[in-house]
Amino acid sequence: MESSSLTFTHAPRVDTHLAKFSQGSVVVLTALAFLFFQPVIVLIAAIFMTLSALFPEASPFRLLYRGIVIPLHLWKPRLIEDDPAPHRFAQGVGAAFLIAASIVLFLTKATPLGWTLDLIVFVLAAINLTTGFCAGCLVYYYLGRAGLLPRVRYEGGFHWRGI
Amino acid sequence: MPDIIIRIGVLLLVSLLVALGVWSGRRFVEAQRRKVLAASPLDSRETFANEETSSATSPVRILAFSSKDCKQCHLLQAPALQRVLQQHGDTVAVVEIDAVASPELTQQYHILTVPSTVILDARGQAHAVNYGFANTQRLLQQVDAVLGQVNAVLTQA
Repeated sequence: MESSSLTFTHAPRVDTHLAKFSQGSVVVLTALAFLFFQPVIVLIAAIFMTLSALFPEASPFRLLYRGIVIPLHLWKPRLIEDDPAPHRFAQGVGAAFLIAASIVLFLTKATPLGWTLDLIVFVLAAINLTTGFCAGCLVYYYLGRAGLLPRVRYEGGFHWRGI
Repeated sequence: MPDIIIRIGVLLLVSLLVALGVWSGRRFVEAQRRKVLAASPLDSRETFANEETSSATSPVRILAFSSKDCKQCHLLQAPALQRVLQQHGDTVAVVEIDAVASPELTQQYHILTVPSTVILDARGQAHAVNYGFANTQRLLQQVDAVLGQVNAVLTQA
């Protein structure tokens, strides 16, 4: 009985304010890059998002959030039940777009394509920031359904009815 | 100089289109929710006849729409509902519905996605609809709101 209640108190949790901070930063970086025609800002955003996706502990957004936002009491952490995996995957999708944008902007003449990729990330991050709709997570769930990502393992199916 | 003005214009236009899309999306979801909340209760005994629960006697029922391959349903929604039952097991019943296998219920409750949860009172009147994952706290608030109304009616009578 105790062990079962323990497993349920350890639901996966996500700090939504950290997520919002990351999304807000991406929105600002991609917008500034486009406004001032600075591919280097796209590259910085690409590196930040790649780090966030691959090494969440070393995410620059997280370091800024923990190092500046929290100590200055600008925002408090808000932990909610959620699965961090799709959000991490979504950051990876954003990173892939920004890496592609950086390559296009630095190495080719197809600047409109590079800025379009930059603005796609701007739009998706803005939608996630304002509505909580995470397009990358949707991709994650569809890939999971198609069997391309490891499927969720859960024991005994739906077992709440027995209570 | 005009270059940056064009860029600001493009960015504003993109932002405006996003805002328009978000606004119409929200309006659509809210319209669906209003339809569910305004609908008269179904005859629950008939509708859930094939559900082997004694849920019809519970003051609050939570319809949990899911599907077999819905990761969020199993990983997050099921444990959250389990926690609600741990706190309110005597007053709350959870009715699991496979959204794919029950298209008529999915249509009746305007289910747009899985997981979705609908909070019903004893009469089968919908009090809240959650599209997407609803965490324990949110579900408990919605259950408490229904129980509060039930208690208010009882004290008046």
